Amino acid sequence: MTRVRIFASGEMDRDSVRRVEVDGVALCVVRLESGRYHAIRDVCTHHAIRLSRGDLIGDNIECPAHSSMFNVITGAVTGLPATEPVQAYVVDETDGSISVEIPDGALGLVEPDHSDDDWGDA
Amino acid sequence: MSSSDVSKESGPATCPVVRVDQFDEALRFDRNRSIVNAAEMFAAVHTDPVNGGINVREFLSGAVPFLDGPEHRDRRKMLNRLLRPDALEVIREDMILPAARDYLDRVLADPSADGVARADLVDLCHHTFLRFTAKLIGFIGMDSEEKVTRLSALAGPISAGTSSQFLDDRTAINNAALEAKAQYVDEFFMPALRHAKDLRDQIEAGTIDAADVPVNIMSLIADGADPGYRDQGKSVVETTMMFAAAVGTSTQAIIQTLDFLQDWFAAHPEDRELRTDETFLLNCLIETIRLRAPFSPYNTRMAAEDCEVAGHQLVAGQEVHIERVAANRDEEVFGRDAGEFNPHRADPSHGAQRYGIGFGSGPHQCFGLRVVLGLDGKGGAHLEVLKMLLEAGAEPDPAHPPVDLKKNMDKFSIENIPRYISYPVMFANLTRSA
Repeated sequence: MTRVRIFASGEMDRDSVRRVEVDGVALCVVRLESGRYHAIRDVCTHHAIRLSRGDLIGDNIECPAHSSMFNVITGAVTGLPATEPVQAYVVDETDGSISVEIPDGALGLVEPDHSDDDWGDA
Repeated sequence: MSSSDVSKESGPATCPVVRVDQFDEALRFDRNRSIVNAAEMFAAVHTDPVNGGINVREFLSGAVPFLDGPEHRDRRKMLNRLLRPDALEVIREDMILPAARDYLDRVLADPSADGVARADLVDLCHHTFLRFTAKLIGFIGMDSEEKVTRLSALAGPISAGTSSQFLDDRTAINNAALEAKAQYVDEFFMPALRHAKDLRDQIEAGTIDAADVPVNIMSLIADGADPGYRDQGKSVVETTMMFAAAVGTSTQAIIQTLDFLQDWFAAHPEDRELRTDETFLLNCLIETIRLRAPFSPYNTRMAAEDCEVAGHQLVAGQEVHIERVAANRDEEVFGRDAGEFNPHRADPSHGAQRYGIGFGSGPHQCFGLRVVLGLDGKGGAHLEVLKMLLEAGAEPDPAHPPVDLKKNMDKFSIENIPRYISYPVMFANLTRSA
C-alpha cells in the first residue's frame, strides 16, 4: 500500500467533487458537506465513464451518463444500472494534507475512460 | 457472417444493411461512437423522403434519443435529475400506482351483467402511464379525467407518427399525427410552458421558493436548461417522444408479461401460487423485456463515418439494424432455452444482465430503466402494477381475443413481436369470491 499526498487540506470546497490522477490511478475525490474527504475509483463500473463529472447527492455520486449511483464512502452501488461496486480508497487528513492509500498493484496502470470517446466494453 | 444481410439496401449509397443479431456484437455496436442514432435513418427517409421528412422534422429531430456525442451526454445528465431516488418514489407512489389503482377500482366496481368485471388492459395501462408521463412532462390539470382522456386521444396518433416507418399506410398515419400534434401543442404544451415560465418568474421575484416547485421537463424547458430547448419546435418533440417511449413500451411490457404467464402457468401449474410473488413476477417481467423489448423488430443506427465495428467494415451513412430480440436469444449467454420464456432462468454468462440488451446499452440505454426495475433492481412501478392486476385475478377474456397492431411484417426476422392495441381481460378472482 502506498500513501500518496494529493492536495492540501481546505483546498476543496465542501460538497464538491474533483478528479485526481495518481500514477495511472484515476480517483474521484469528494469532500462531503460534513467536511470529510473520501475517494473512489473514477470509473463507473457500468460503462467506464468518469464519475467525477457527475453530481454529488448526499453521500452518493451520480454517474453523468446513466445515473448509476455509488456511495462515496464504501463504493457500494446505490442505484442501477451499475451492479458492481467501485473501489473505495482510504483517505487520511493529517498535518494539513490529504492523502490516499493506493494498493501497490494498482499504480502504473492505465484506467479505462470512455467519457470522451466511445463507450467501451467495460 | 451471421450479422450481415445483403438482401436489403440502404442509402445514401447502395450498401447492404448490417444486421446485428449476436449479443456480443450488439454490445460493440451500441457502444461505438461511430454508430449513431440518426433520425433520418430511423425514419427511413431514403425509402420515403416525404413521409420520412415529416417524421424527422415533426416527431424525431431534437429529442434526446436522436442526439449523439457531447450534446447527447449533456442532455442525459440534465434529464437524470428527473429520476433520482426521491423522484422515483414520487413516480411510483404518487403517480403510477394511484392511477392504476383508480382505474382498476372503477372497473371492479362496475362488473358486467354476468357479474364479472372486465377491462381492456391496453386502456388501463395507457391511462396509467399517460398520467405518469403527463406529470413527468409537467402538464397542468391532469387530475381531470376529461384531460387525461383528451391527451390519450392525441397521444395515440402522435406515437404512431413517431414510428410510422414500421406501420402500414404511412401517409394516413402521418396526416393524423400532424393534426393531433397541432392540437396537442395548443391544448397541452403551450399552457404548460406558460405555467412553467410563470413559476420561474415567481421564483426569480422571490415570491415562491424554488424548492416548492416540482422539477419536470417543462420547467427545464422554461429554464432553458439545455441549449436544444431554445428551439420550441424541438422542445415539443422532446415531450411527444416521451409518450412514444414511456407509454407504449410500458403498456406492452406489462400486457405481454401477463400473456406469457398464461402459457407458463398452463405448463407449470405448480407456479400458480407464485402469481403474486414479487421476485417471481420481476423475473417474468425481465424475461418479457429480454424476449420482446423494445417491442419493435430492431433499433436503427447509422455509421457516422467509415469504420470497423466487431469485424464489420462500414461506410459512412450505412444503415445498421440492431436486432435486440434476436441478440437476447444467444444460447451461449442465456442458456439452451434462450428463445423461451422461463422466469426460473439461471443468471446469464458473459457478465450480461438477465434483461440482456432489452433496455439497450451504451449511450442510448433506456432512460426509464430505473422506473421499471427500481433503484435497487428489485422492481419498480411496473412490477407493482403487474402484481395489482394479478391480485385482482386478471386473465385474458376468452370471448374477446387480443388485437395486434397491423405491422409491416417484412421487418420482423425472428417472429412477430406483438404490439397489442386491445387486450381484454376479466377479473376472475372477483367472480370466484362473489
